[in-house]
Amino acid sequence: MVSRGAPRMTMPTQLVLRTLLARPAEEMYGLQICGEAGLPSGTIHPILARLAGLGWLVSRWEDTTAQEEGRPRRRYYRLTQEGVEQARLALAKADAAKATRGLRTRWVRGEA
Amino acid sequence: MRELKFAGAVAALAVAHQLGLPTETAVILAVAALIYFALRHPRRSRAQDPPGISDPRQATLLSQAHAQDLGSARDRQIIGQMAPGSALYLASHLSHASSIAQGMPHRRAGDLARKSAHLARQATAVHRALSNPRTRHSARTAAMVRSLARQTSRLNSATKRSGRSLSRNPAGRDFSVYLGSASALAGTLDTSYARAHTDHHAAARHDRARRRAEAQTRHAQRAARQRAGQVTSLARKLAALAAALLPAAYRDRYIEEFRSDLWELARSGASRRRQLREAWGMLRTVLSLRRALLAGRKRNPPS
Repeated sequence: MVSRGAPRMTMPTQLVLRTLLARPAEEMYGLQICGEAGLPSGTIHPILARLAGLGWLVSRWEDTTAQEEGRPRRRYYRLTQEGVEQARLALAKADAAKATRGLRTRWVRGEA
Repeated sequence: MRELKFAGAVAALAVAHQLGLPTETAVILAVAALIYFALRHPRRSRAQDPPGISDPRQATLLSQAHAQDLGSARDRQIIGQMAPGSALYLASHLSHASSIAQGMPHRRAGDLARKSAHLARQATAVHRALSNPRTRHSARTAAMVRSLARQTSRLNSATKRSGRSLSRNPAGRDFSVYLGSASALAGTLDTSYARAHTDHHAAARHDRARRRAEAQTRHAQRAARQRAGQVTSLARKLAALAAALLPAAYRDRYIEEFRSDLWELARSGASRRRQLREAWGMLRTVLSLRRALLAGRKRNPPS
């Protein structure tokens, strides 16, 4: 059961969080996160919205340079301080759960 | 067709409302109806364009088309201006021969007059067909010209066979002269028309090849523009549709965000197919995004 204050740690969610945690102080826009996480654009927007809803992420529009260049504005995302801590914790839990599952599987197969 | 698609979507929404289904289910039903009608009645797909203009075969084809145009222009002009006149001249010859035959003291005079008059009417029909640019090169006109030449030649041969009895009186001699001249004219008309007809169709083939080459050039230019950062129209529409399914407060934000993603993709040189795949991904996950936004709305008001 997923706790109320944490998102479901699906594989795409973990990939997005790892990408953001790689450079927590840096702002990244949607397609940049897609490229680094290796996910399609449609997949990351629900995850980003979920993380933003939990207060793990903040986002803002880029400055006016986009209009000068004649292209649509980018939306930049960055982990909050709370988001960095919660994301690290959630990823550690997910890794631990994965390791436990692996151990259990090997035990069941009689390999451990 | 567009109306049918949207009517299907509206009907799905109405049914969902009547059954008291939740909004998300209704939206899913509406999108499913749109997709169903789009798949059931797809747009006609264009034939695949030929290879690029840089292709040497294409360049050769284009130069051949130009050469053919220049070469055949003369013949087409001749057939356009001279052939109708020749046919009219032929009709007058045959009509004159027919009127001579009517006054001939010959046992086959009536038969010859009737056949000549028939050929004169046929020559008039040929003149009419050749005068009209729309029917000038039709298969029916070609058959009429060929038939006229064949029948005139046959009547001339038949007349020559009974030449001795015809040459006894001056009217018979006149008839033979007119018919001989008409037969020669019909033969020339048939030969020149056949040549011009063939040239015309060859030129039409090359015209089609040139149009294909021009369309293909436009396609190459469009692809070049796309590489330079133009988002495919369909991808843009799919992204807009995805944004339209979001809560109103978030719609503008996501329209711009999706558009920005597609723009960045196009600028990075993504193909049309790749752009469409990304846009379809946006549409596919929009309900999940909608749920996430509605869940987070209480904590963070939209900005």
